[in-house]
Amino acid sequence: MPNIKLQSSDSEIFTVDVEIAKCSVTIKTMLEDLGMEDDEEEVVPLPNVNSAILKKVIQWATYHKDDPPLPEDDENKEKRTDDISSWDADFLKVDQGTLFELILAANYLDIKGLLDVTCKTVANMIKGKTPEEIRKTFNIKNDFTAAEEDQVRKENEWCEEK
Amino acid sequence: MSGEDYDGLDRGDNDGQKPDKMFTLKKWNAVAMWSWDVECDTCAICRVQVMDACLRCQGESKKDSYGKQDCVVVWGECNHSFHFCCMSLWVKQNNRCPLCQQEWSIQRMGK
Amino acid sequence: MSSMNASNARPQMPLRQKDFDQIWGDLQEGIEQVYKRQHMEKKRYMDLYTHVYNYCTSVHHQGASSSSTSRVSSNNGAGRNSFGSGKKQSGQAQGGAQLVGLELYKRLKEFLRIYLINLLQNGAELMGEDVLAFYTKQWEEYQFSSRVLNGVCAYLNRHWVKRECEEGRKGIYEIYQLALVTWRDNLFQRLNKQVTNAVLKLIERERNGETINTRLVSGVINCYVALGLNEDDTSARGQNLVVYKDTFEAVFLEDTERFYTRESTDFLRNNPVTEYMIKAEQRLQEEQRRVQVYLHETTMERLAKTCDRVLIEKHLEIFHAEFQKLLDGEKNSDLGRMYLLVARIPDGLCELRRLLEQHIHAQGLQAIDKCGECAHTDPKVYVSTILEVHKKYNALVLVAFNNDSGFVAALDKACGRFINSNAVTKAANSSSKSPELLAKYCDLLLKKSSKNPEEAELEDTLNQVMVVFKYIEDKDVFQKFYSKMLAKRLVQHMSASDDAEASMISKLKQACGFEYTSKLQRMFQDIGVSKDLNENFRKHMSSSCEQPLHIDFSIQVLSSGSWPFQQSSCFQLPTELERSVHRFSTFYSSQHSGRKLNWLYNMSKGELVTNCFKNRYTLQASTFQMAVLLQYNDNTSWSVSQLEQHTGIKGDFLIQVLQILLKAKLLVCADDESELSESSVVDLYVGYKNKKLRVNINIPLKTELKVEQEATHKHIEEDRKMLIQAAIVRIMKTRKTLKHQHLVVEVLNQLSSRFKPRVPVIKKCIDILIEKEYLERTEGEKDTYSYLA
Repeated sequence: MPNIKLQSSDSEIFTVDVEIAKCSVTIKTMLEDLGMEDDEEEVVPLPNVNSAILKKVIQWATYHKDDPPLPEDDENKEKRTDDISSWDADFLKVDQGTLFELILAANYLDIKGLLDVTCKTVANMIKGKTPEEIRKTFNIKNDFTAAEEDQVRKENEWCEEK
Repeated sequence: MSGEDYDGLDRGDNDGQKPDKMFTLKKWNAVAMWSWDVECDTCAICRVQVMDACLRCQGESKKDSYGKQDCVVVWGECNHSFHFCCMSLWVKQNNRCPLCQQEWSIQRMGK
Repeated sequence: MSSMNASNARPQMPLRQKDFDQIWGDLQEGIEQVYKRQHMEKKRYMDLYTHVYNYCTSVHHQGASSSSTSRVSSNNGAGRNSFGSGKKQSGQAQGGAQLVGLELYKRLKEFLRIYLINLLQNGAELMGEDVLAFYTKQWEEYQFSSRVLNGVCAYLNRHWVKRECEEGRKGIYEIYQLALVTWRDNLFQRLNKQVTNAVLKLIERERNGETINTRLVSGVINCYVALGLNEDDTSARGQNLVVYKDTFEAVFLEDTERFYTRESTDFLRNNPVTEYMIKAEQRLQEEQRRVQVYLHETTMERLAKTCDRVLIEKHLEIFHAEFQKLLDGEKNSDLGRMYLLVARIPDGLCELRRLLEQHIHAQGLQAIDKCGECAHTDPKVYVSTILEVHKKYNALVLVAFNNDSGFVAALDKACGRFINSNAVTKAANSSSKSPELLAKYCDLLLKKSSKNPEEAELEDTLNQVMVVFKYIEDKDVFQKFYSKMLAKRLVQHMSASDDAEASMISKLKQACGFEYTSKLQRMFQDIGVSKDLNENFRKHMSSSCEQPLHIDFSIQVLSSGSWPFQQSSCFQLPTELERSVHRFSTFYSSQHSGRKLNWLYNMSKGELVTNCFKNRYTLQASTFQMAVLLQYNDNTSWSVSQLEQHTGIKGDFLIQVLQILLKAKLLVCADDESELSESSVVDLYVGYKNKKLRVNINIPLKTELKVEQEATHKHIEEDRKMLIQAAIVRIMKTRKTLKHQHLVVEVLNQLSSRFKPRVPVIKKCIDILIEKEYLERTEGEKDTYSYLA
């Protein structure tokens, strides 16, 4: 199996199986576009991902390398948030900062599976909470006036759970 | 030349004790036609000739290649005759001869 | 704000114009590198991708700070926290941040436009193969470079472009599509006329036998296909081929039509049609290959249609005229070629089928004519002649016409026509002649003779008979003759093989159903039953204490109704036979009950041994001959009237019996054979001599044969009337009332598998049934009948 060298923003180099690296559509497309003249020594810099996060991403991709391809998103089908595998749940038991950085990395590298599961984890953190609790959870300052807040609440009445 | 064709002179009429007739009968292959001894050769119940199997039996014998000869004739005391099959069904509803309305009783069966 | 903001501080800052210009500067340099097809390192590629990413994830100038999640999967809640809102706010003026991309998109578009305008300058003046070489090369490279550009801009595609398209914005494409559209609007628009012309020139050169560089054509075609963008439905990236169809296919087809119209007309003027067909076949194959090699597959059908029209349909009349010639000349491979060509034209084959039917019909009639007298009298010649014609054209239909159902139907129709009406049937003035001769042919095959074929060969011949049988209209006539001859074969023990007889009956049954053969099967059975009966009678006699019969007696008892035999005429049984009849009758009634026996003396025969001649002869004789000869045991001279008195044989008939005996020189008469009268005196001829000691004098009487034949035909007419009446009753029973015309049609339908009823006969039968009160004319309605229960 050929390998590829990935370099994090803080210049750490990770040698990864090409097939695993191809979990990232960005890397996959690049390899296709540039042709496969396999220069294993050529480093691929990922200037937007630090080593801690890249390590996590590689860990995730290695575990999921044999997953079947994800089905196309169906606009009409509501997404579930309760279908996170136990491995992923364990994997994502991290602090909020790491979680959000993983989201950013998944987006940058275009790894749909990872993006889905991280966003779902955030969604689960929001689910069932009052606005005040949500603000507290994510450390968000309330910049609405009382009247504005009332207005927003009214506008969104339809989605309140009954 | 075969023996039969040979004009044998030794075959006179010396083998008979008495002078034979001019011609003696040696062999006879007869042909005869049998039919049921009936007054009317149609079965009044199924309208088929009594010599043929009744409609029901014809339908059944379609299945096997040789028609059965079981479809015999029956005579009543009144001397009217029908397919036995037809009559057996008839008497279940009405125990009279369909032709003369006499009470039906079997005189004899064809065989 | 929380820790997450701290860790993402870098791209979080609003992007200023100066920063963007810097990003674009580097990006443009990279893109230029891509379009110059210079080698690119992975690092460089990732830098460019990251530029696009950073640009797209930067917060727009107007935007305030917000949660970083907004960059990920939602553009909501940038200015105001409206988390959980399903509304899209991107259109709102009050500063809701949009996904950033428009500016970059515009610059990319402009870059491509200018790149292509520059490129066009190099190609605008080119013509012919040069323009093709230029166009295809540039297209290939442009496609490749644009694919790389698309990869670099993947983030823009994934977020900003996707969003714009979802919101229904027109004129925004994924970057690769943008590249195609830009090519179409700038390069294709300006060059397509000269490019298409050059392609058509090239194709024409290939049609004229030159070898061309097909890659030039396929390159252009691939480009045209790729440019058919489905702009109405941006989410579906499907192609709609509109560019290919409009710019190329339409002109190409016109060109093709022009080319082949000229070529085919010229070729036909200077060459025979058969040569032309080979040429057309080649051309069709070439065009098919053309599509496969360098055109789009959807052109196949329209191109084929165009070629079919020009190469075949336009010349159909010439083909039709040639078809007859080819049939006459038996040019089977040319016929096959013509079939394949004409089959490509809708309804084109109709005329060929008609001509074939006409031809086979004529050939059939001619073949029978050619046999002359022979065909009228010799069933074998007649049937073989028919079969030869059928075999020949069956093979032709199978091989040359691919067993096409229409051609099979034409063969069947033609055979049906000439078999049921030809010189032989016309001479006999009856379509019944064909079934009669066919049945006689069966008799020849199945009767014991020195020429009986091997079992397998016989089976094969019987199958051939069934081929002809299939075409016979009067199947009832065949049945009559067949059953008569089968009856004779069985009674006279003349069947060559029981297996062959059974096989033939089962073939007939298969063709016409149980009813058609039920009597034939019954006859077969009777013979078996009789065998057992004789056995039992012999046993009975040997165990009986009564005097033995002295003669070798055997009998066949047949069931009446199944056998086509006539009652025997008046006859006084010779005393010598009386005992046999009596003994057997007694035995038979002991075996059965309710049965009566009718002795068929005309069918019975026997053997007499002579003691009055120089040699002892065994005469095989009919029962009537036996009765006459036995009279001479009492006296050697009798007058005809005396013989009539003693034998009970009626005058005319007796005279015929005597004529045969006179001819055999067993009897002599002073009067001429043909002038026998009641007073003629007939003596035993003691000087009788024959080389053989066993002599068969039992030859059929002339009138007997004639009567039989007439009776058969008469029976057929009567049976038909019964069948027609039965059919009418069946139909009326279910329909209750019916118009005359409909009734006639249904009767014809029901009976067509047996014979073709004549309409006047049907009318007559309707009248009979009205008379018998099965039907009545419906009151107040014209030509309508009702069924009377």
